[in-house]
Amino acid sequence: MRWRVSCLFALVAFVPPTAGASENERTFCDALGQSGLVNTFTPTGSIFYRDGSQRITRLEDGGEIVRDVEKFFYYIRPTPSHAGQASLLNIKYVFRGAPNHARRERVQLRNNNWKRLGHREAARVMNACARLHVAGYERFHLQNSRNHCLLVHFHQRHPDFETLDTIERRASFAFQGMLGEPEPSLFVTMFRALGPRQASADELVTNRYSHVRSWILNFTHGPGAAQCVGFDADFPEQAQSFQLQVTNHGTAMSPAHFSKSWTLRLRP
Amino acid sequence: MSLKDWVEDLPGRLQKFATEYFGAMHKVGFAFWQLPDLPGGSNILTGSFAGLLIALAQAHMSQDIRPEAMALTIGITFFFILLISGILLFLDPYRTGEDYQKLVAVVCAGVTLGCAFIVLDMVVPWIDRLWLSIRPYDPSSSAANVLIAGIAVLLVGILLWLNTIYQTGLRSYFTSLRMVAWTVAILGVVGVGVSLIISGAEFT
Repeated sequence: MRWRVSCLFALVAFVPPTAGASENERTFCDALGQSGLVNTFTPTGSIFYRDGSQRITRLEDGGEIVRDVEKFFYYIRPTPSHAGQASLLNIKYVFRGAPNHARRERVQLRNNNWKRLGHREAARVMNACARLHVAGYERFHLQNSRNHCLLVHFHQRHPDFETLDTIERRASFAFQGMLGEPEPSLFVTMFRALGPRQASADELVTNRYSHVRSWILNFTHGPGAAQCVGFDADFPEQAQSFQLQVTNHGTAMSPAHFSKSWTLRLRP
Repeated sequence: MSLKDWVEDLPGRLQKFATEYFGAMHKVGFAFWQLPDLPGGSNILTGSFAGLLIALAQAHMSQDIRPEAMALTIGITFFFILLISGILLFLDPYRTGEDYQKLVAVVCAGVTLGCAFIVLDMVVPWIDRLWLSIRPYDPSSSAANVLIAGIAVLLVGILLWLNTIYQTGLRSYFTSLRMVAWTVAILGVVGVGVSLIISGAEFT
């Protein structure tokens, strides 16, 4: 029953990561260029957003952010050789809140390729992927365990941008340090079962969908000098702070990946 | 008996238990009523082996292995397999007093072996290959998991069948309706158990 309810919420919450059309991204990028916040030396990997007064602001690690931000824009400065090439971002969110909300639950998965599916098929995929626990997600990426949703629905294979082609790329999708202490091994878990539960003051907040998210965002490098790739912010109500990590997987021709993290407090 | 005598006697008693236990368990097959009498507490040991393999299989299938979730999954699995075994045995007119203990031992051994075939994927990867090969048919995740359980149970069935034939002979196997009926029943119960284990997250 519980998973059916969570699936229903997941379906209601299904807004593709690139909900805004590419024109919005272009409009934002034009406005960003005029704002003076970027220049020809600004490297790929900064994130910008419109704050409550619609002013374009750079996302600063360790800062504070208002709750009504709708979208973030990942700034890319491609080289001319990248034009027309497929690329991919992995966006990971971990929300934290008060300890009385502490429960590690499921990871919310999204892949903007699911937009290609029909409504019914997308609902079926969301349903299949709505019951994955964070620990299972971590084990799949770091210890090569098995999961049908991650293998068949979430991750991509040729002719799409491959996401499981190397051990390093597979591991880059894991949250690892973002979750605080690492997930305990099976044997540690079994021994812990014999003792009292240890409360942690810094566990993750529960919201009705999920408090831990991993999204795949496919995009194609444009011909311009700069590009902004938009994705939803959508902060849960109980969250007090969050960590965002964006991993840029480069292109199929130059497949290196690099990650950047931001930890921010949410203004009450 | 003094504590000193009891401690001195302990290795011998443990060895006797192990000899009786493994002597009986290596004869595990579909003809559970032909198993030698099991020593007291043997089903706790068999259940513990099953619990360990269940936990490993759940971890390998990216299930939630928090203690509370694992306890619920293992509890529900054992509840169902013990309940179904009891109902099936109740329907068997040839049952005797010791049969339930022996049936539980066979079912636990079957579930343990089923989980072992899933854990074997760590060494000989077969699950991802199977899922990718059936991808064009677009099965649901539940169906894909049931298929894994089905294949594990099929392999368990082959092992138990070979051991049954080895213990009883091919002719007596096919001339005993009871044995054929229990082959289907035991594989069904083991199949339910393994399916519950690898789909455990759906009810945690």
